Amino acid sequence: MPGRTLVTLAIDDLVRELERLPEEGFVEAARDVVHGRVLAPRSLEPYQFFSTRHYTRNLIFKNDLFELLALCWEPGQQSSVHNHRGQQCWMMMGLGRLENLNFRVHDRDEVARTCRLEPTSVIEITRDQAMSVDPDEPVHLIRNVEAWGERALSVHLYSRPFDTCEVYCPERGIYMDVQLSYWSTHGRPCAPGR
Amino acid sequence: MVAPDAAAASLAAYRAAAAQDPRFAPHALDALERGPALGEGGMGQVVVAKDRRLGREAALKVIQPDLVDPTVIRRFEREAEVMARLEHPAIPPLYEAGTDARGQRYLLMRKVAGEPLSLVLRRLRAPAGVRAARMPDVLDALARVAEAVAYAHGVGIIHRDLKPQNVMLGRWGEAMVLDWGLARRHDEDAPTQDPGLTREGETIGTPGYMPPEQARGNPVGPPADVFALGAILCEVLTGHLPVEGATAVNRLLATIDGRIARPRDLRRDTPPELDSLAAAALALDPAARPTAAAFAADLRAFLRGEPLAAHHYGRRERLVRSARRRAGALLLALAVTALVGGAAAVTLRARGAQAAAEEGARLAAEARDALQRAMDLLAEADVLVARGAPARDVLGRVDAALAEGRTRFVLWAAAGVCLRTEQADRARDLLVESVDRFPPGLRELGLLHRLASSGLAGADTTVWLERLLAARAAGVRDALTCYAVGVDAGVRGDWRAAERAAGEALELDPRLAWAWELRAGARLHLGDPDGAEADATRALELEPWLPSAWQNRATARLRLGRVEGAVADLDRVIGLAPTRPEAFTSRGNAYVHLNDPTRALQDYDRALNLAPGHPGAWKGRGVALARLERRDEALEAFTRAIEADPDDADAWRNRAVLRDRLGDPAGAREDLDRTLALRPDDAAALELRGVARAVAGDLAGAEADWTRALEIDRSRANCWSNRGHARLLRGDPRAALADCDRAVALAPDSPDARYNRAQARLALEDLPGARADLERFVEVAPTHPKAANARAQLERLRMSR
Repeated sequence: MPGRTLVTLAIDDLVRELERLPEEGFVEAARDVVHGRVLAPRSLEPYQFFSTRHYTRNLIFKNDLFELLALCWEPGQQSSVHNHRGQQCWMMMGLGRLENLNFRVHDRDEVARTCRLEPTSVIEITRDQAMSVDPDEPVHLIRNVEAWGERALSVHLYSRPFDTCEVYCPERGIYMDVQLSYWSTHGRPCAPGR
Repeated sequence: MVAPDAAAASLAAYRAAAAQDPRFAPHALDALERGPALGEGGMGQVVVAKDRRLGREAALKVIQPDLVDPTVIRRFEREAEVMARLEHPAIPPLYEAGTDARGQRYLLMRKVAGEPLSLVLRRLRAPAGVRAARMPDVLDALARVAEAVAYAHGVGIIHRDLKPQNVMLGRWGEAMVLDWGLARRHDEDAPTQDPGLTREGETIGTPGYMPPEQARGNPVGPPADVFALGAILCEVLTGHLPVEGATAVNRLLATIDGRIARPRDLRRDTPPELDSLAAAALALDPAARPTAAAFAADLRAFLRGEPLAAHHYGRRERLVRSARRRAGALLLALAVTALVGGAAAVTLRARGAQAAAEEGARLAAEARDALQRAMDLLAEADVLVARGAPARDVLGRVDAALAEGRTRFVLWAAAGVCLRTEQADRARDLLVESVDRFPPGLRELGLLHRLASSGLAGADTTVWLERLLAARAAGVRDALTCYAVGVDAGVRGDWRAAERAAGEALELDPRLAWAWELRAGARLHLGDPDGAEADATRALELEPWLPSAWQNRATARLRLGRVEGAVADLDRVIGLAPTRPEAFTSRGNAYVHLNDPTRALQDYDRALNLAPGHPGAWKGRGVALARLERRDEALEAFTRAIEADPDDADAWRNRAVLRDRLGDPAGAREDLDRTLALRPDDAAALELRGVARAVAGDLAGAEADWTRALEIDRSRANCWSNRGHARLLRGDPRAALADCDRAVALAPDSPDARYNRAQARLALEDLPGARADLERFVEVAPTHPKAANARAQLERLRMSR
């Protein structure tokens, strides 16, 4: 974006800044911390774990207020269609770029747990443009476009932390709760299911 | 999403407003007798309703009574408004819209007796149903649909969810476009015009039929419907959507990426004119698509045998068209009858008069049926092979098609399917049957095999075969005939004869790339990778599009240790023929050679995506995973490889090694027994089994295995060392020393060889020799488990001195 000043910072510095924020007004303050910042790629090296099977979720930091994750994507990998349980989410790119597809939910039936999804927008997430999940349409899918041919690492800030999310299956028109797990925590690979 | 409280309040407001709305005045639905359901969607249900007052059946669409989302209600109302505006023979008329006493909205419309196009398309793909639903009928129905859509566009309405499920084919040949629930006026881009219902960026539709602009959430206009018509046409012609993807999300992503195939990409025998029409409708740029009216007009033109606006005709095509018009044959209803048309034209010229015309029409109909069945068979096989279905399922389709009639075309198609499922013998039998039953016979089976395995089977095959037939009949010994003889020899496994015949072909015509490629393949089989690489290179200089030549050169280079060159060649194979699991597997093997198991794993996974039962890919995957220390997954991969090919001795041996490392010596031993049952001369397996036997205390058995291994391969240092150790334990230090001497000579720094020889020398009281070996042992392997013992022995030797 022309004229905008971007500040590079290491991931540890980002953690420290976020840790200092008070609980009250955390969401607004965290947004200010994230926007306009570019992450130093070298500082993310301890959290780079790529898998050929699926993108990986790597825990950087977690406390009661927020959770910071590094997600590593091989070309062609994508998330399921999911939401964030009403939590705030920001994404910053450490390496490469990603594409975010937003969906709107129609005809949601809380009892039968059925719904219908309609795609609403496609947004490219780049290193100089942090992205917030749209609170009005929080259902989305993220992917590393195969044709781009490069790996991607995205840093996700969630407030507050959550360990399950709703995953949507457009083919069958249903949604369900899914337990989330980490590929690594604090730079160390962990056992499956953790 | 709408909060429940707000939605309930909004619903109440709507219901109150509805009471004042004359269009939805309360109505006694009691007059309607509800029958079985016709369909169900997210919003509501469609049921058969009999109007007792008028005695007619209608379709009643009702909204679910407990739905509180006002957007849904507004969309329902919108459908009523849209349908009320549309009056067209291919759009069911709306009889009535209303609200019943419970406040439930409903639409009453004409009930269309018939079946959805989706069902008809499914049957079109099934051989048994080919007669029931003819392609021209479906194309005619699609033209009617396009005309209805053009009419809707003319009055400012776009459908936005055209798909075969929303097209009903009636009993009397009528086609009806249903479900206008997502339709809107195409001047409604601004969000202010219809807040909450048609916001900017909203996209509605079905992935696979929706265009890229719709998938991206951009505003859409009439071209979006034309794209859907193109997608339906593609499905009609090929049995496949133009957008690849097993799930709705993947089809959506492919659409966003613009990965839109044209029919001929999916099925080579698609009529070129219809291919052009579908491709035009599927253009990424909405402005480049024809209008729905133009689309309909082109379909009609095709059915009449007239030129299409969407197709550019080459000179040859114009000549053929002109000739056919002069022949008066109206056999252009389908371009798939091109061959038939030629045969019929010959008949007509020979006999003239009406009888000839009738005979020609009968022949044409028969041949068209046969060809249609063959096409269906191939299309079904495509689906099954792509889904990784077991060969027996694919061959089940072959049998079903053959039961319909063993015509020449069906036999060819069946043989093609057999080739794709690696049933070469069966393919050969089918082609031989074709030769025997349909003189003059197609003796050039090898050529067909070659073409099919090169991904080149299709119309070109016919041309080549006919040219060969003519040459043979005329007694010509030209390069191509020699080449065909060579291929036939190769198919029979006589690679020496294949090499000779290819050489003869090249003497006659050194520019025949296929002959160079054939000789490269023969030389690979004859153990001459240098010659194979040179021949494949010549082939590629002449015809760089030959995937088999790239593959052969890659194989040659792998054998010559030129792995990076092999990878480059395999990149080309994959570029030219991206659906070959063998190419991905070979490249994976090359990456393993290059010690890059991660990339190897990616290639094996791609191969397995294409062919889930590919034994080589599973085996390679196991090797790569083992290299990455992911042993449990590697074990599973080797097990899958063994399940896919129980005769693969390498897979058994690899699993044995892994089981041994995972602490399962009994399992390892079983696998080694199977390895050696399959390949008794596998020295490595014998050596491993010897170790397993020795660990289990069976020294005699171990010695027997190692002895056999050394008879096969005398350069196995570990084997000499192990046998020496066993012989020492069995009380024969002299024989042990002889073995250990061989081991040390082969591998002077092998710790085991040094240690074992030291023990033999100690037994023979050659103390200086033993000391020298022990000193060397602790020097090269200071952390070896036996190092402490060696040091203690050295200390004793020094003290004894």
